[in-house]
Amino acid sequence: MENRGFLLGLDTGIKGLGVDLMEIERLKRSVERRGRRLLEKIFTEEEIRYCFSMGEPYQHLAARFCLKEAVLKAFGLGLGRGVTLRDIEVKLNELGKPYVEIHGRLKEKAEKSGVSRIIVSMSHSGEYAIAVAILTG
Amino acid sequence: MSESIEARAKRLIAEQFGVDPEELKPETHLVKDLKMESLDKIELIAAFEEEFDIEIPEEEAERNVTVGQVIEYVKAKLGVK
Repeated sequence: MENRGFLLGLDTGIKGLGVDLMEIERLKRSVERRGRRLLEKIFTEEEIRYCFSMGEPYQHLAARFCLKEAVLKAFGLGLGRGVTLRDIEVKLNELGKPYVEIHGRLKEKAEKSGVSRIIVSMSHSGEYAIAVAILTG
Repeated sequence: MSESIEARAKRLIAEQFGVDPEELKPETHLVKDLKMESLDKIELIAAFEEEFDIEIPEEEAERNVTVGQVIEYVKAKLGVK
């Protein structure tokens, strides 16, 4: 009987869940130390452009960094094995709600695991940014 | 005399993790001993690329998990015995 919730979870087709939290200042320090080379290893041109068009770019960058990490965690992956953070692109729809597009090896992995949708959310407050990702069939 | 590859590599790793370069042994593990996180790893790759003017793909970087392996990797990249 205790397993019922778990079984219901499977019935909803959830295939993965990931969360990530970071100090905004931590990312800012890294970018200040390593500059554009570091930004380009994590973010796409479009993401960099968008975040730096905002008043507080680092809270947006940190939330996106968390979202990318959350997606990797949801897939049960770390970096490497041909997957980079740039393979996860964070975009906003017309209402400003985030969604992700995945590319490369990660896209292949999603297709193989029957993941057809990635539901995401991100937020920031004060010193921290946070994001979650749920994979569904 | 200019700083050796080994000393330069140790300096970068020490700076990243806020430790004394003297403490870094060939067997020091980046994750287990120095608690390397995802962002540290990306930062370290960027630092090594800049210092040694080389390109380091992430799948190559992930094979090098100790200080000794990192130094050997850089030497191999630079074609130094």
